Amino acid sequence: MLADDSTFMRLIIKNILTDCGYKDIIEAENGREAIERFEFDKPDLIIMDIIMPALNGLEALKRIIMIDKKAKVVMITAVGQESIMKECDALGVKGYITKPFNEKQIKQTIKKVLGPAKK
Amino acid sequence: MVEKAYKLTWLERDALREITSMGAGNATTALSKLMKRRIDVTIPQLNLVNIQTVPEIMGGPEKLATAIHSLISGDTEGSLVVLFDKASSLLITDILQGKEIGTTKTLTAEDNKVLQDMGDILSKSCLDALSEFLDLKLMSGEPGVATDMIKSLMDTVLIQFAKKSDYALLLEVEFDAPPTKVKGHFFLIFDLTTIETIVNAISKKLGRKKRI
Repeated sequence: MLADDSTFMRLIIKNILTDCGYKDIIEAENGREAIERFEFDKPDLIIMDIIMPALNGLEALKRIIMIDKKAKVVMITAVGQESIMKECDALGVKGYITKPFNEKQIKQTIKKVLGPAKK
Repeated sequence: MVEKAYKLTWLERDALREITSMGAGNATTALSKLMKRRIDVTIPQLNLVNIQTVPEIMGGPEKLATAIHSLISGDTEGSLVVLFDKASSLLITDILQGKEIGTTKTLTAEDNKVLQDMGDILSKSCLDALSEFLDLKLMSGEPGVATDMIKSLMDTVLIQFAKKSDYALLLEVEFDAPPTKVKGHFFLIFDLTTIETIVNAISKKLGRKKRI
């Protein structure tokens, strides 16, 4: 699942994931929607931006981890969000994608968390 | 009115906002390191505006402010302006030079040099992020520092755009460095040709055809 309020960012990351062979990518526009979709769809991986309206990524992460301690979450961060990253680490986040990211960085991070995509 | 000049789709607007935020975010991080303080950034506003309205948007034409202005060159042309109200610029000068807060009452040539160096770091960090993400070559020139009424400051910045376009892309980022009460604005000003170049780079990034 991709959770980001920017359609542009969701499109970019979705294209990269699709290229890698990952399927059934669902999307959420804010933290609240991410929690709802997580409860309903139980995605294998959540890629979530920190700064989002309605409910930010950190708050959404806390609630997702409360629902499922083993949830695999990768956070999209910007340089300088180190203090938030420490909180995410404590909650068991599996990785980070730092803006401005490139394709290689996303692929490596996802592969590390999920393993290669099943063809 | 703006839409007649250059109609941005909602996706292009979203992309521009996201990409320019990255640049401003990088610059704010650099400022945070320089000042050794946490800096809060508000979500930026991105607008295509008539250049005549810019001083009003920036807080009123007669308000005193310090502007650090860098010209952007390379694959695109534009301006990057970091604007501090007068009190904030004095505070920053004290912090950067390790002086007790409240020491600087007016900006000297030496203080301006400190602000200029800071502006150089800010503009480079901002443009590096944009260049990397969009795969465009963007460079910043040596920044100029001036303290004056906002209208006079912006007239100087906007003179170059008046010849090319009535409109500019304006990204406004407000940052706050508590508890020092340092407040500033970050403005990226691009003319329409540049906006088109960036929009085409965005289309490329999305694997779409170049916009004609």
